[in-house]
Amino acid sequence: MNTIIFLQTLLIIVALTVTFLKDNFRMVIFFSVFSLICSSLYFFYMAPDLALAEVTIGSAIVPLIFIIAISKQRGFVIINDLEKDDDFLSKESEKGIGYKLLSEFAELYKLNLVIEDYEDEDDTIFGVFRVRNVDLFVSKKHGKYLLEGKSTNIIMNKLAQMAKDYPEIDVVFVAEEETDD
Amino acid sequence: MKTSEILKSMCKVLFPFVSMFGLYVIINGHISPGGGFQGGAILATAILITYIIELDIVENLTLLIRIEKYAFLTIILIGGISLFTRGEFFTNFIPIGSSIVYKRIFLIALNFFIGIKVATGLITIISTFIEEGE
Amino acid sequence: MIRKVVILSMLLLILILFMLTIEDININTSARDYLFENGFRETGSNNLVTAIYLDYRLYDSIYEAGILLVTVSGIIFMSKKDDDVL
Repeated sequence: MNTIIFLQTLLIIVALTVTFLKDNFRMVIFFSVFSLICSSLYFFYMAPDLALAEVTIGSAIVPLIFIIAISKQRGFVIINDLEKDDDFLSKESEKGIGYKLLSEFAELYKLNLVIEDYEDEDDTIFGVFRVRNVDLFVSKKHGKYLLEGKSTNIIMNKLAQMAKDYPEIDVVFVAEEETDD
Repeated sequence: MKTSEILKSMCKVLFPFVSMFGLYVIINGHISPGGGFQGGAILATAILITYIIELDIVENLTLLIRIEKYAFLTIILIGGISLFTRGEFFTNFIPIGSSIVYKRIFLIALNFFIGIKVATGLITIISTFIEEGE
Repeated sequence: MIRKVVILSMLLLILILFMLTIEDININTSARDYLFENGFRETGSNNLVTAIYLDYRLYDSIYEAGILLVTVSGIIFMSKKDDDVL
């Protein structure tokens, strides 16, 4: 009986840890610990069938799927459609305000910046959005730099807030339906 | 991503035991705790280990989906046989009066097919997720 | 602040309801007794869970297996690149 009470208190503690942790990978590990404790509780309450199912699904398969999904979210892909001599996104010079803003933004969310040049192959911007999972599209129009991103991306709001300090940068939201087809 | 040698050799030792345990849980579903679903999930985790040791057992997903489809059809057919022997759908097809040993044939066969179905389904889900993640 | 108070009161209400249901619990054990007496003889399974989901309630488990099939086909459809589908 004592084991059951101990496991129940441990279960509550682990569940609270899962909710309040900020680090995603640690959260996944704690989630698998949660289902391990849960399955041992099932076993003590005489439901060994459920315990077997819980220990395989909860602590092996679901964490794997979570880890794959999280590691895919790590990259922030930017497509660069500026002219060659434009140093808006260049690392070296002082003028690269776009790079400064974006690296600051990526550091805030611990993302990896991936900057690629736009390949002009008779493809519209929507086509690029559809085929490759692009987060941001940088172009220049009427002397202003346009940063186009999906409106469903939540962290884009933060980028728009940060870009308010720079008068030459405009952040434009594109609806998800337009990018799909 | 590079995996360490210790993890690889441990998984090589672990893989046959995990798959053996999954088959045991499926076949002994009517005697000990477990059954088709649990055993199939354990088999799927055994295949998950092979991704760590870079064995690449799963090559074409269409074959797996086909196996799953036919396993599902076989489950429905085995369940439907009882219409001719007992006169009602989806129950044991061996008559009520016969001995327990014969009745177990139905349980073992159905557990086996449910196990194959669940294992192939979960392997397909895992492999598509891993392909997407790369 | 108001939201937190509302959530806390809802959680308290759930706790009180759980306690009330546990207190005046009055389980009808006739089905359990029937399975305990006749389950092994009628199905030939020592594990009564297997006896239920493969014999008495096979209809349910067949649809459970069908749900997994639908899930797998949905995931495969979503993971395909657009060029393969079109």
